[in-house]
Formats: sequence, structure tokens, C-alpha cells
Amino acid sequence: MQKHPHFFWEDLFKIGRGETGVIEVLKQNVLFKTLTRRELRYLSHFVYERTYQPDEAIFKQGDRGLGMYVIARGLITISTESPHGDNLVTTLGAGSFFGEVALVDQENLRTATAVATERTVLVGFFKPDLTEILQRKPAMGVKILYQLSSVLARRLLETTEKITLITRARKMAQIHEDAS
Amino acid sequence: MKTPRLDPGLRRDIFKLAFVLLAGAGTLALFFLTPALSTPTLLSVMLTMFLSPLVAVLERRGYTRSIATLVVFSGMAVVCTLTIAFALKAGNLEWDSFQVKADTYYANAIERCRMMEESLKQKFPAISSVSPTDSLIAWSRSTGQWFVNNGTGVMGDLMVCVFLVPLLTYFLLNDGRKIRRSFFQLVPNRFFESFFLISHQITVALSDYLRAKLIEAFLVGLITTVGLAIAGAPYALMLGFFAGVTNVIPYIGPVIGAVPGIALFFMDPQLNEFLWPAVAVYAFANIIDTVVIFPIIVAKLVNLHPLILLAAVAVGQRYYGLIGMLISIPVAAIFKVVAMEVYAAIYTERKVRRSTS
Repeated sequence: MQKHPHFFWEDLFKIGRGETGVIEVLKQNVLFKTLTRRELRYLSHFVYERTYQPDEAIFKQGDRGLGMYVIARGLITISTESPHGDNLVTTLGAGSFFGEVALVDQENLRTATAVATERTVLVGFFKPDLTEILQRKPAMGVKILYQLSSVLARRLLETTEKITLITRARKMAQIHEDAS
Repeated sequence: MKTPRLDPGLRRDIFKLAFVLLAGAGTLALFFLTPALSTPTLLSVMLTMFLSPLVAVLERRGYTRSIATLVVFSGMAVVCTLTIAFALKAGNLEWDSFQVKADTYYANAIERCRMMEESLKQKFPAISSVSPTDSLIAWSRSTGQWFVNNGTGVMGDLMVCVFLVPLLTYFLLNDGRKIRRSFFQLVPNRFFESFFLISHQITVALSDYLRAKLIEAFLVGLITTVGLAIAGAPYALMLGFFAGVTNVIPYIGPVIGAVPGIALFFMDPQLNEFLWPAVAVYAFANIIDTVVIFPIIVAKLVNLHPLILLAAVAVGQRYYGLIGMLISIPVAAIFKVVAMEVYAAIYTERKVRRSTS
């Protein structure tokens, strides 16, 4: 018999993957890869496992955001809304993470919409918990922040490269237009 | 005309949320209906909020949470034992002397009250029909009777608290995060981040307020004790302790705290010389509290307009008396946090969505 995808009690009283499973998910993530086993176990007390049904939104563009999610299982799409319609930014699978900007952004507003395309399990890590880790275990918090800075720097570099390419292409097109 | 498609998960999420809220309401009802359980729980939550930063300091030094909690508990036990031993020694002397003189104080107080009543009745014949002294005597007798009848029960509750509070506090300090996570597991995804943010801000606001009030009460108690001791007044420790404890009640707490001292020094002719120094000490402690301690420690954390604070305290007093006054400011702080989050969720997010569409 096929299980109903939205069965209420299954979600409410579902048994999680447990501490070990969460630790494995976190260990494979770039943000937490420099943490020791002990630190990962400590971190596992600060994260939240959430299950999403197909087409269920994780967050929407403009929502107030609190933190990031690591995909433990499933698939999600990231898209942005604009006056010309929705733009698909990317599709992410198990092991990927998203929403990390909210960990450091003061405004806390989501810049894109994330929707689960199949039954998806996410591990959420939020700003107040990062602050608490920084207060309780500063060395561990610095490791996470350092990795987070690297990720954000890499993304900034990629964005700058893309903008440079687009600007260059526009200039070339303008020159061709002027010549013809 | 095309009708907008209803979110398929909305009904399920609302059902889930209703279930969570119902479970929460049930727990709260159980909490309020069983004072034997609610009082130690409330005290444990308060103590946990107070001790949590100490555990955090030890964790920062590399201790695990369990060991940090144990160290804090051991330290607290040593401090409590030493304080109680010292307070019992000093307080016993004051208490013994008070017990010996209590009858004289009572007789003098009644005599003074009757004299004042007579003189007032002579000046204002319109009040000749009322007899406040007799009412006062009747009230003190009924209050005394209540203590005689309920003393055993009160002592029993106190003993339960003495055993339960440390136990519950230890578990809350050690496993509080697990309990919180289990609760969040029940919240539907749609409301999860909002619940998380609001609960975090409420916890921060409450623990900051509680810590600030405890520090404020300690400082006011200390200033009063030292002031009365310098003035050479008897019962300085007991009166200072009482002034510190009652100071946690907003606005009228300092007045209630000053009543026993002023009444004692006013009623006993042998202690009349301490009346004005005591008034000066209470006034000084209150001025320091209002001008220095409250603005620096408490007001900054609560960050509510004084008029709102006053209204909150008045409403609390109207419906729940002294307890209402005590909890009015933290409850107002919770309302503020929730209102700000709802405002931000509705207006800021809508503004952003409008600018992108």
C-alpha cells in the first residue's frame, strides 16, 4: 500500500536519524569539515532535523531568515522572483547547503525562494545557536566562521567574475552596434 | 476568472500548529492547577536562567556541559551553606531579641494607633464612626490564625521546593537544549523559523530581566543593610534583606520594603531615635536604585516606554495582585517581542516582496 505523503502523525512523531546520522551529515559539509569528532557531537545538539514534502517551501524570497540548511536527503530548487517572472537559480541535492547568508546578515531577509522537489530531509543551523557556540566554545565557533567566510568569499569572487563577463559582453555588443 | 490555488500543506500545518498550541495550553493549565508542581518548576526555570551564564563561562574554559553544571552546583552549595550559616548566626541574634520584645512592640503599636485615632477623631468628627485600629487588630489576628492553621502545609511546600528545585534546575541546565529541540520538532515547517526566533528572543529578554532584577535586589538590600548598620539601627540584616526581596515588585516594592523598619522605629519609643536615619537610608537606597541601578541595569534590557511599564504594572495589579505586579514587566517584554516579530513578518517582508514583484 502506498504511504500518504502528507500523513500527519508520521511527521509529528517520526524517529530522527539520531545523533550519529546528523554527525555524518555535518562532517561531510565544508562549513564543519575542520571540526573534531567531539566538536561535531557538540554541534549536533545545536542543529534541527526537518522533513519537507514535495513542493513544500523551505523559505520564500523576502522571508525573515534565521540560518542555513544542509540537505541530508532529497532535492530542492532555489529560484528568485522578479517582475519578469520566476528565475530558477539552481537545483541542490544531498550534501549541499543553502541559506548560509542568513547566519551573518543583519537584515535577515531571504534573497531567494527554496522549495523541496521531493521528500527532503534538511539539517538546520541557526544564527542564535552560532552565537551561543561562539560564546561557549570560541575556538570551535571561529573554525565555523572561518569556513563560512571562505564560502562567502568564494561566492563573491564567482559573482564578481560573472558581472565582469556580463559587463564585457555588453560593451562588446555596444561596440558592434555602434560599428554597424 | 482564475481562483488562486490553495497551498496543499496549509490545512495540515494549521492542524499541526493547533495540536501544538493545544498541548502547550494543556501543559500550562496543568501547571497552574497544581501549585505543588508549578512553584518549584517556576523557581527552577528562574534559577536556570540565572546560572546559565556561569555554566557558559566554564564551558568556554573547556569543561563539558555536565561537568560545568556540576561545578556550578558545587560552588552554589558551598556559597549557600556559608551564607546560611552566617545569616543564621547573625539573624538568630536579631530574631531572639525581636521575639523577646515582640509583645512590647505589639502593645506599643496598638497604643500609638489608638492615640492617633483618638486625636484624629477629635479633629475630624466625621470619621468617628470608623475604627481602623480595631480593624487592624482583627486583620493581624486572622493573619496570625492563618499561619497557625496553614503553617505545616507551607513548611511542607517549602521542603518540597528545597528538594525539587536543585534537582529540576540541574536537569534544565544539563538537558534544557534537548527539551527545547523536542518541542521545536513538533512545530510545522511553515512556522518553525518564526517560532524559533520568537522563543529565542523571549528567553533572552526574560533571562536578562531576571538577572538584572536579582542584581538590583541584591544591591538595594546591601545598601539598606549597610546604611542601617552605619546608623546603628537594630535588625539591619533582617530589614535590609526584606527591602531587597520586596524591591523586585515594581513601583510599590520599595515602599513595602520600608514599612517594617519605619513602623518598628516609629512604634517603639526606645527606638525612636533611629526613625529619621532609617527614613534617610530607605530614601537613599531608593534614589540610588531609581537614578543609577534601574536605568543602567534593568531599563536598558527591558527597553519599554515608562508609560507602558506603568500601564503593565497597573493591569497586573488589577487582575493578579502582587504576583501580577511582579510578572507584569516580563510579560510586557514578551508581548513586545511577539508584536515586533509579527510587525516585521507582515510589513517588512511584504515591502520586500512588493519591491521584487
